[in-house]
Amino acid sequence: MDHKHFEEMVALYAVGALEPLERQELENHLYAGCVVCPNLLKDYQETVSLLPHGLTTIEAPPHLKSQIMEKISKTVPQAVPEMANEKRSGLIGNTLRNFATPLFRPAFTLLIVFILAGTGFYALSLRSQLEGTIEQRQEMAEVLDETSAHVGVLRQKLAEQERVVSDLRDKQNRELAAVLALNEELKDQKAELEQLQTQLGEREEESAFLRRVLAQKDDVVRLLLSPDVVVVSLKGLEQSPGSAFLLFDAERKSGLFYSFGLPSLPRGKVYQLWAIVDKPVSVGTFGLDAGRKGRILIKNLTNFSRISKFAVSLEPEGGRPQPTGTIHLMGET
Amino acid sequence: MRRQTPLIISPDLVAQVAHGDRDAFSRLYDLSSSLLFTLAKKILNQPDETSELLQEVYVEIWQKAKLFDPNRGSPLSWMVTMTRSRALDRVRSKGWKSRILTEHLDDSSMAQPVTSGSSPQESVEYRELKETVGNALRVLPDEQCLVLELSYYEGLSHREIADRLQEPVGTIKTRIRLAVMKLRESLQSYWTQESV
Repeated sequence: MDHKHFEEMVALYAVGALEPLERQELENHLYAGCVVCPNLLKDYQETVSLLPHGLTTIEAPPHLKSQIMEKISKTVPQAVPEMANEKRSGLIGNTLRNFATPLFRPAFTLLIVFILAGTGFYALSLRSQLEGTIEQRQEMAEVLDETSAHVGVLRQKLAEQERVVSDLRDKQNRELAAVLALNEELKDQKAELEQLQTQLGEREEESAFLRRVLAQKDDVVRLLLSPDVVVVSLKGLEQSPGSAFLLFDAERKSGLFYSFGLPSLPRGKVYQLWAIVDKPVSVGTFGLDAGRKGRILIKNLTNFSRISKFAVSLEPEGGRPQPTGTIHLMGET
Repeated sequence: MRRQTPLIISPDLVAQVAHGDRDAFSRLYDLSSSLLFTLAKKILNQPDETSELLQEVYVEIWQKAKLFDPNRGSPLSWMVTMTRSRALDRVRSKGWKSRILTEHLDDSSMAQPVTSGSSPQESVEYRELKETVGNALRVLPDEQCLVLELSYYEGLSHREIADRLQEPVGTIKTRIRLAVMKLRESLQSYWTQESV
């Protein structure tokens, strides 16, 4: 607490204006050995002790002195040791003074000796206890220091481990993010793979189709290049405007039929090619493309030398064992 | 008989009293009784109570003279302090109420010119002292004079004064402090003389 605070309290103390707690606080400060405040208090107390001089003087009654003198004649001034502070005498001081009469003086002296001896013994005991307490305190301080150092090391380790855990957590997070990214990429690639597989399937189908077409074209090319190929022309009958030709290699037992200008097929109908030996033998059925062209690649057709004619009729879908519909084309070998 | 004045009371006189010297005590009474009676009467405001109190005070002075410490103040300061303390104790124990607010600045107030109350028997030095104290009080602002009177003669704490005057505690404390400091400057020559 600021010393100025006490200095300000002194003036109020001198006139008795402090609250009890404040008064106690200041007295503690004074007894603690302050070198400033006691002198200041002395100045102020001397000052305020002059205040009654400012009052109109009232003489004490004449008989008062005799009454007082009579009273003091029955008592003697107290013989207690001089004490610096009247307030500190209190109950103990009064008790001691009561025992300080001549009647009690020997007993009082003996009592004082006992008290002093007891006090000395108690002081030694207290000193011993104090020394023990100081040693215990030093030991506790050492233990506390060691514990503090240990705690410091543990804190460092803990901080280190927290850093490691933090790094691992960061690494784990990064790896998790990478896994998630890979997963997304994998999904994309899987989708792309599925798309590629779909495209591959389509390409394979296309490729198979193209291979089939190529094989047909190879057959056609081989048929066209063969020196033994025979060409048969088919002409449309009166009710049919179409025409056709048939290339046939008897040795290979294969051939190619190709039609032009046949009427568009009604729903549920196909054209059917017949080879006529003794009776019509079905060679195959065909439809028409956008140019109203029709084709049949003929394989394993035997007894070509015995075939006298080829004819095309309109038949129900799937064909028939024998011609049932209108004959549109006819040609002789 | 020329009445003795308490301008200076020697610590040696108190020391003689402490050794049971009744003549010394008689002289001590002559030097201080008017002042202490005036003070006690101011606080108690009842002649019979004042006489009774003064008997107690002087018996206590007789019994406790040995306790007087000249290093802590003058004999007069010691006796004035004791008288004031016992008088205020008596007021409190009997539950008497304050009367200062209604009597402030009247005939009994601190600021009253002391020349009217001075006895022709008093010494010139004592009249000068009373006049100096009266002048020192007169130059104080009324509010400082009032809080000084309430604290010193009624024994009120600064908080009780603040409650009574409906003023902040800090204001009251400042007024008391300023009043005491001004009095200290005005009366320095006397209290240094007293405490020699």
